[in-house]
Amino acid sequence: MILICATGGRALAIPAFARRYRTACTTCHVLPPQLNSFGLAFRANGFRIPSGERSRQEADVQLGAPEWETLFPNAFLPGTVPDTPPFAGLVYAAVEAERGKITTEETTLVLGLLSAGNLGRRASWFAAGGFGPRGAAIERMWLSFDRLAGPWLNVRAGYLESAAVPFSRYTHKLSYEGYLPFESAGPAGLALSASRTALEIFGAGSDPGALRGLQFALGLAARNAQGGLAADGYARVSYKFGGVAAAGDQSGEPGRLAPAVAPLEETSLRVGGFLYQATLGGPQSRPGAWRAGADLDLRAGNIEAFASAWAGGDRQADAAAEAEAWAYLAGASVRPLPWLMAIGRYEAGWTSGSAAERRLIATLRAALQQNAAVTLDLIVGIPHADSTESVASLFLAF
Amino acid sequence: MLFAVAAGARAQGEARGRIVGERPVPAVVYAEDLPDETAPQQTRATMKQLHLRFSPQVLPVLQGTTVDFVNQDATAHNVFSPSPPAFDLGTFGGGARSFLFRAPGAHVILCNVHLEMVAWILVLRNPFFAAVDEDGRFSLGLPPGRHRLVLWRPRESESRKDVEVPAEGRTDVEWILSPQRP
Repeated sequence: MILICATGGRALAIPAFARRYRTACTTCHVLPPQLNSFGLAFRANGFRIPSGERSRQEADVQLGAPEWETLFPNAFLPGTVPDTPPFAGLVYAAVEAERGKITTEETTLVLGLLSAGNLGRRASWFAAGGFGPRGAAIERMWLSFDRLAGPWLNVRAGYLESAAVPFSRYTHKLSYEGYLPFESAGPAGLALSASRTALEIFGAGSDPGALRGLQFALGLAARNAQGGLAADGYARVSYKFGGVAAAGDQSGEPGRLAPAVAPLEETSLRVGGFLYQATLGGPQSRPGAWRAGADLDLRAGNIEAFASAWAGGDRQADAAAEAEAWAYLAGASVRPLPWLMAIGRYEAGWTSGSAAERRLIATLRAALQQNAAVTLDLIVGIPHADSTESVASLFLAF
Repeated sequence: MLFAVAAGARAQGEARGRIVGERPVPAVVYAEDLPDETAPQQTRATMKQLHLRFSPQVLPVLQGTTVDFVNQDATAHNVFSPSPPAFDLGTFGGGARSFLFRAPGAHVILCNVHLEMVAWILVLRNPFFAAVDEDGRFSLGLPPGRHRLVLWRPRESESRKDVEVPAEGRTDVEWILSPQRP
């Protein structure tokens, strides 16, 4: 049995946006940090309200009146800086205990700092880091140039989680444990969801338009690998049927997709595919790996079902043969009350030459208020349940 | 403070109203269905540069009006407009520069010394217009009859409303704005 006294979390709800837009966390989150459809569209637009936020940006400190836009390239393009400090904090604490073959207890305490926002119409940024007893680290940090061709062309560069990952621990984290298929490293040391230095081109469709549900990303990454840096390439494409468009409603009609409209109750299906090639060329002394997978995410009111699977291979440094690998997950969540979520998922991963890892995770999340939540997790290794882990955590965002 | 331009003896009636909603000002209300007129020669209006802002930020004038840009700051300002016909009155530390506005429409006014300064001069085809005051109220002299009023606000699309002005007395107008985007 585990008891947790904790505050905060690795959860990445961003009160900087709550302050900026004077809105509640649930405008963008189902239960923080999982984003709802509006939050995903907000993110796809470089942290901007899809239907436009002209008056919001006019409240910012103007670095040149917007009318200077018409004079480019004969004049500087105007910009803005936020009128409220774009910072937020998180306190997260957890107690976990493992029983079975291994018996351990562990506590975690992290103070997270976040900064994110847009700098007018063309640029946005995100930065997140954490401090704890084990040290400090930058978790993610990127600068994005947005809307170079409407919502279809954006470029971001920095230290980031690859957009190839369909269920991000940052935007779709439902449990204490990250998703096994994307967090386990494999023999070549490739963990898809680990942050890496990357340059990424991405875009999404919006309303009105026939391609409203389409979303894509292409990236090049530099990943620390044995023997030096490995250059990786990746791609992802998905289509969302129904619900809020991938990049929201950009028709400009006032109120058509205002934050007050609850997209939480939408019915939608997102189907996607991804490809990750670790180590593009380079010396044979660097390990290599690849992953090719598919995913789906079904949302129907307060119920969500999600699944993903990939096949791939890992080649260790200087090895001639490639080890086959696969992984998958399937899960569902239900919210009997707006602030209470029960989640169950099953996930497995395997590499040839080793035993498959399988586990079942049951989670109960409850938001004590908009910016504070508790989570109870039970993680059972199967089929023999010879190791059972229990975790209790609490987070507070401010 | 209310700005109102009456049309001489023809403005026997009055439309008095209030703009309700977010960001009702700066704004101008004008009638678009009345005959064109041109301001008499030497008709003048003033836009100041004070505390690093143009004042008023929106100035409605009748076509043919000369606007004097008066720098009341201790620092130099520039006055130019990229709206056709574009003009640049140069940079000046004190006194005034003037420009004759003949072309109807909204003219953006900028200062290339202080890029955040912006104003609009709305050049109108007839004298039936009024600037909306800080409380969102306006009073507009109009001939009796049915008229179409236009609400103009910078960076926003125009909205229209039909009013019936009695031969004597006034008509009251409540103009409710659509919800603003964040």
